[in-house]
Amino acid sequence: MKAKSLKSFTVALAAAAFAATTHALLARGLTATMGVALLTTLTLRMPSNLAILVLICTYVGAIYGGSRSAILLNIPGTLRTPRRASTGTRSHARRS
Amino acid sequence: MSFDSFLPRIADVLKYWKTILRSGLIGTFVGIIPGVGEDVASWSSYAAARRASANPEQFGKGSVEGLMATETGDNACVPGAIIPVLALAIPGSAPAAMLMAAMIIHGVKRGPLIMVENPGSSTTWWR
Repeated sequence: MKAKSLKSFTVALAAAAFAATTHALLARGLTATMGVALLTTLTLRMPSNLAILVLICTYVGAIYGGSRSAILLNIPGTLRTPRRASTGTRSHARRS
Repeated sequence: MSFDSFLPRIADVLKYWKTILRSGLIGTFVGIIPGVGEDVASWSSYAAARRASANPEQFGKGSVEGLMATETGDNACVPGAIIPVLALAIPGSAPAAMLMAAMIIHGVKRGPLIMVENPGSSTTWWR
C-alpha cells in the first residue's frame, strides 16, 4: 500500500508538472478544460483512483501553469490572463 | 536578472496577508458556485483588492499586491470547484465538469456517499 500510494503520487506529480510546463512554454489556447479532456482518453486503461488523481493534478497544474507565461514572458496563454500579463511583467521588471 | 527575482519574497507575502486571505475566500466561494470559473474568481478578487488597497493607482502598473490577489483567487478556485463535484455531483466550472465526466467513465460514484461507496479512491486522493 505504501509503495502503491508513492507510485500514484509520483505519476500525479509528473502529470501536473507536464501540464504546467506545456502551458507555460508551448501551448497557446490549450485551456484546463481541454487538458483534462485530452488526458481523460489517455487514462482510460489506468486504475480509477490513479486516473482521477492524475486528472485533478492536471487541472491544478494547468490553472497554475497558464499564468506563468503571462507573468514571466508577457505572453498570455489563456483567456483569463491578459491583465496579469501587463501587471506581472511590469512588477517583475521593476523588481529585478 | 537573477534567480531571486523569480521567487516571491516572504516580506511581500507577510505584508499582504489580508489580500491573500480575502482572495482565497473569494476564489473558493466563486469556485463553489456552478457556472462561473477561474476567470471570474481572478477578476473579482482583483477588483476587491483594488477597492481595499492603500494605493489603488499602482494597480495595472506592476503592483505586486494586484498580482497576488489575482493569482490567489485563481488558484483557490480550483479546490472550490472540486468540492461540489465530490459532495453533490454538481460541477463548479468547466474543467470540473470534464473531471466529473471522467469520474462517470471510470465508474466512481459521486455524491454525498462517496466516502462510503468508494473509500479506496477518496482516501487515495486525500492522502
